[in-house]
Amino acid sequence: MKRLIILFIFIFTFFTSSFFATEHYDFESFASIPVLHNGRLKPIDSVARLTLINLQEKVSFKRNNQKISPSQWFFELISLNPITDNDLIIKIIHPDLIKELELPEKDKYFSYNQIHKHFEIIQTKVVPIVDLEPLERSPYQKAVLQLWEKMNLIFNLKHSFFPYSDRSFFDYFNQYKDDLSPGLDAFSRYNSGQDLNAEDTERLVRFNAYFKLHQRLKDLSIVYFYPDLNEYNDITTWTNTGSELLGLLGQIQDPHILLSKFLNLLQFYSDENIALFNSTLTDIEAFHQSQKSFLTTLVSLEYYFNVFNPLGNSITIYLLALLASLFFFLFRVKSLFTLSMGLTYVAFFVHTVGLILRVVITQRPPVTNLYSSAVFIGWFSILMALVQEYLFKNKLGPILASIIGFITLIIAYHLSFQSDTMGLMQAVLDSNFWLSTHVITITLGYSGTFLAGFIGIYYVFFNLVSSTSNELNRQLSKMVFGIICFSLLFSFIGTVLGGIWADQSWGRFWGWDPKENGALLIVLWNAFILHARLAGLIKLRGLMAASIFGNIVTSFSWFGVNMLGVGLHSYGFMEKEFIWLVGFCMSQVVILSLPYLPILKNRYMELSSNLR
Amino acid sequence: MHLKLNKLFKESIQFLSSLKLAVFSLLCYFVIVFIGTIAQVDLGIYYTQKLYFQSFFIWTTVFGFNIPVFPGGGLIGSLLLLNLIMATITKLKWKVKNIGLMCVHFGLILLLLGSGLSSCTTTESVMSIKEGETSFFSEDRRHLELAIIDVSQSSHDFIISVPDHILARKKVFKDPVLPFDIKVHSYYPNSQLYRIDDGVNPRISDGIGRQLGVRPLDVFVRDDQRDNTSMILEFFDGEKSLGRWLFALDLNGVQDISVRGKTYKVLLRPLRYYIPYSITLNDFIHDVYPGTTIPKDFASEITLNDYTNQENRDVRIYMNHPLRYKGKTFFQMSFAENDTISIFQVVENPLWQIPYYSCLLISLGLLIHFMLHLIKFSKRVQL
Repeated sequence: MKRLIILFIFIFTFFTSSFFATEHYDFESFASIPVLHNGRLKPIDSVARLTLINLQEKVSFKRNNQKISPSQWFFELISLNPITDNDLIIKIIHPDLIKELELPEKDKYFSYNQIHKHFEIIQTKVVPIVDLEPLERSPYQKAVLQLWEKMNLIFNLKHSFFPYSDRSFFDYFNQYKDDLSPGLDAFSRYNSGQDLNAEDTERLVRFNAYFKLHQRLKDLSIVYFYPDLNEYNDITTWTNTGSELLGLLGQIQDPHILLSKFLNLLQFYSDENIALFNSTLTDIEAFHQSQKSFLTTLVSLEYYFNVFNPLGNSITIYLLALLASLFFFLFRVKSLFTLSMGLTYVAFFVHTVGLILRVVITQRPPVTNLYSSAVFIGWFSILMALVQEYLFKNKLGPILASIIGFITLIIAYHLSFQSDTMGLMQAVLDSNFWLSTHVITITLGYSGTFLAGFIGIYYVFFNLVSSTSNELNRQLSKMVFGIICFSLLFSFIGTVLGGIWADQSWGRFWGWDPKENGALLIVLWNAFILHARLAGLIKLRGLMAASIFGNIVTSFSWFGVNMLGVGLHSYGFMEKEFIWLVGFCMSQVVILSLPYLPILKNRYMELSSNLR
Repeated sequence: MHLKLNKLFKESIQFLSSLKLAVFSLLCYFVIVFIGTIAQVDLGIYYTQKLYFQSFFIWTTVFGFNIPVFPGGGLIGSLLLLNLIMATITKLKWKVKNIGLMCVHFGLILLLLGSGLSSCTTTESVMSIKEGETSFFSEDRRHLELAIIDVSQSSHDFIISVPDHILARKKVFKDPVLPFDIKVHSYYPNSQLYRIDDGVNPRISDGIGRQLGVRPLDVFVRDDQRDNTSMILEFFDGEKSLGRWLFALDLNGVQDISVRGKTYKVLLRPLRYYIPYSITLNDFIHDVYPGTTIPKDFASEITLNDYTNQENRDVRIYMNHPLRYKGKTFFQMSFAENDTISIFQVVENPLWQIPYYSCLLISLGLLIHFMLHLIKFSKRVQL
């Protein structure tokens, strides 16, 4: 118990330490401001992280060996601080492209300035590539396209407020305000066909230039800062800087309160006035809070979710639990087991919190994309592992739970770099009863098959390193049997639910789509195991080997089918992931064949008495 | 003799209802589904279905000979179904405690039978409508027809439809319905047409085909590509030839064939399914999430007009909400031309409700069985 308390204190300080880190500019306040980006309201912190993931496939980066927070970097970028142009945040890995752009050959991360010199070359190269089908592009062409998209992203972000770094946006805006009235008068005189004097012509020219610039800003900016003051909750009304500036042309009115605030913010930053900078941020925060909107609560929740990073941190705790379990198996000291159990419970708790937060923030069921499926599969397998520990008390719980937790969350972590994990879903996949239930039951089926597979792996290693225990083997056999029954049930129901959803969406229950086939393979394999066991064709060793093979079937169904690039379920070929998948499958083949090797055969004797 | 037959009968029943057959079939089916899924990358879903999942045997060519190398999905599926039926009849003891399992097995049999039969009874077609326009037919995505249209009446058109798979047999067709006999000189499942700039195509005597050459191609396997089927036909009025004509799917226009003073408009087009009611597209809606191009919703506002029963109503067809009317179901499938054309998938399957009933039956059975076991389990382990 005392150990658990110490553990909790450790976890608590670990999480909250990020709060105590002091920064002069209150970029944390900036980070939690809600904005509309990619169709979803989110904190600026999320936009910053997504941008960094897009550019360099990771979130953290260092400038002169100092860690810079995503939000600080983001602010510097959109305020056109030239320091960001030299940050090494753009990842290129294709060696031919690196050479062609005359970049240092051994590096992977480059700065905007280093690449910008050659931007015209990239621009010309990209035109024919865009017309090609994605599957027809060579790796080099894909690299060029990716680089162009990254440069475009930075370019768009630099148009979030004002695109000129040599001028003050604040001064520009004041000039614009002064020019508005006379400009509009000149414009109406021009429209009514009157003759214009030199002054009017000049005003008209300036007016036109304002219009063009603001239109460009409106078209390019992808971050929408300004909610409609009467319709805050309707995100379709949120606008960007360009729109707001254009809006002032329509009628003389006060600028949006947030526009004024951001103008001040940028000016204070440029004047290096930290106190006023921070107080302006407080004002902005106060504005959003005063709207008393449920959406802002969700945005704040997402900010804290990013900071606390429960799903990322639980990986560490699962790892610690795993180490503790391994030490327990080596030294058989009871306190090590208690430690491993305690750590597993803490990790599971944090994992659960992360899962629940995701559901609340996205307002969607727990499984909506590949990333969340990994999180959920891990979560449910761990739950089952802990339940079986509670029921059977065989000391297997912590090691199973921690291994599965560690692996699935690492997979999730790598998946988080492909797109916004809380991103919106395409029309056909959006909130539907049959789809939600189908996805959840299928992932439950996956969880079960994986758990059975890992128990099989445990069986192989345990009998390899210790003396055979009939008692334990019998228990393992019962567990695997029970879990496979469960998996068969859920994967079958999930597959049928998927068929019903397909029938509702496209009019056919079954289309032999690779993803459908993958689910069918799991059902067939689980059914095969149970029937073969019932027929006496496989006994203990066969059961375990078959359940390990189930891991291969499930990973093929979960990831392999996405790599085939056909059908309605294709997400694109993931090269690195393919190698990992193959490696994993081969490892499973090796493990399951160990009990059949002649030299090891006698360690894996069948149980002396009847299995049932 | 009588005894031996009896014994043979009993042994075959035993074999058909055996677990070993089930295990063998499940394993075979697993292999078929796996290989088929990999083959799909190159073959496309349509051909993979035909070769692997619906066939009796999977064939391969060895030294020029076609040999069956593995049982096909159709064979194994039927075997599994038979095994399931036999096992349910002979092995499951008809006791109260097995009622859950009985439900499950019956539900499963119903599901497999339903799915199997559905592949024969389902008709899928596509209906494409432009905003403001009305349609009263849908088109098959694979099959074609040679449409011979008699436009002599003012009140209606009389259409004779010759399915193209008949023409593929390359014979002479005589039928009292046809206004002329059809002789198929050439039939190309897939081809490319090209203009002949100097001269004419010697094989064609009349029509658009005079200026066109035909290059045969291999059939497309990608699911988004459509084969350009073409054929050279000669029409006869008795012994008299009415000319040799080229017809192709890509040739959109009609060609006029005159016989005995009557003109028939002839063209090769996707097989049409006419419906006794019409669908008018009033508006197609394509919503995206604000500030993105990610689609949020696709919807079609249509008016259904059935002149046989005076039914006239507005319907909104959108994702996961099809229109079910008189045995046909209309799904929002796609769109084109800058959101002005809405494309519907029209499915007709009289057996569509079977998966739902079997699902219900299986869930009920599993629930009962699971509950009975749970009660038994909790009595043993003190929870």
